[in-house]
Amino acid sequence: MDLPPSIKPIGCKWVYKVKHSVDGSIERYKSSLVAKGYNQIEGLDYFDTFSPVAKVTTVRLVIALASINHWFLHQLDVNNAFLHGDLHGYVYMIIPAGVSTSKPNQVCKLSKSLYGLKQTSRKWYEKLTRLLITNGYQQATSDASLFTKKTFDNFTVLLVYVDDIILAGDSISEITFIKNALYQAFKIKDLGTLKYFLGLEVAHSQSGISLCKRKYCLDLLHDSGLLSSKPVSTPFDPSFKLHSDSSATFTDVSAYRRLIGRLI
Amino acid sequence: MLKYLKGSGLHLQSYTNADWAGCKDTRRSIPSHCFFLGQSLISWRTTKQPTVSRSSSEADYRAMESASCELQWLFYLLRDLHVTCVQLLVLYCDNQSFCHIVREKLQAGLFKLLPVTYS
Repeated sequence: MDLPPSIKPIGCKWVYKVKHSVDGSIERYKSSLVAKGYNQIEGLDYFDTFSPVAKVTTVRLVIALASINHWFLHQLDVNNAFLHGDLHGYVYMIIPAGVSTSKPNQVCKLSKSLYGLKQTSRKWYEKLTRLLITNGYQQATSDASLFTKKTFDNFTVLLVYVDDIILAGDSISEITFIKNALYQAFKIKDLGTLKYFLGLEVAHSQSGISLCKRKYCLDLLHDSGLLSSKPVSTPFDPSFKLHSDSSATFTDVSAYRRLIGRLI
Repeated sequence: MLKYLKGSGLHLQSYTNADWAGCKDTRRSIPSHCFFLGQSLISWRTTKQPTVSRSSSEADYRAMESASCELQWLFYLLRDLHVTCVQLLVLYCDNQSFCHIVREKLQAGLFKLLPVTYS
């Protein structure tokens, strides 16, 4: 459409990625169009940008309850979650490279979210919340990413972490029902029984559920180059005295901060 | 490795402790707490206190105060999950002197318990 007067359209660019499969061979080439959201102005182009994520305590509590009550525990993944959000404001973007237009001075008016826009994650969260509430789910006040549905004889819990969803409940028919509703709306991928979520490996057994972070720790050791180091016991010997010396300071500060961030 | 056993009960237990003046540089205390639902450990935390505590009783009291905030949230969360059998919230802390203070002050009617934020 024609560019409305006094509107500055948002830029965009193509991002190309090569996706590797597990053995390192090239699986597919992926190109995606992203908006240059960093030029958006708050209060003019967008308003709220926050969207909640589940607390780890809530995740553990739901898993513990599922174990105690012998619930089903399933996991879903949403394909390209952020592209589902609806934009109600007027967002104009320049014509992407490679698209030819007949008239000069044309722009795209966006009706759906794109990666890179400031409001993208919130619009996705709003859309998912609306869908769940119309399906009879109730949003918990203590954790905004927790949704519950209580009927006469069954109870279902749905926990959202951006585009990862945990489903727990005592009725397989209700779980299948909400899976279908989500599939109709967002083309979700059903990953079956919960196995891996936020770095937590979930193992089911006769006696219960065990959580461990083996893969996360191995990845951490691999990235910090300490895979062949000797293990030491923790906590450290409290009588050990640390002191400063005059050796050179640590050069790669951001690598150190990243490591600390992953350890916390 | 955390193990969540099937069929274990639904009581919420919480334990707190504080390492009085645990930080060697600032002499601030390091409180910690952990919460169990049945036999499953669901939440734990240890952070340095923002201010200096002048006794181990005070450090433990502050630890209990911050743990009770978290406990209150967990209680609301369980209520949202329709877990109704958790009635009594129990907070364990190993501090005899603090227990005595509470008992004495309660008898004298002077003590405003945990609902009032200490700081």
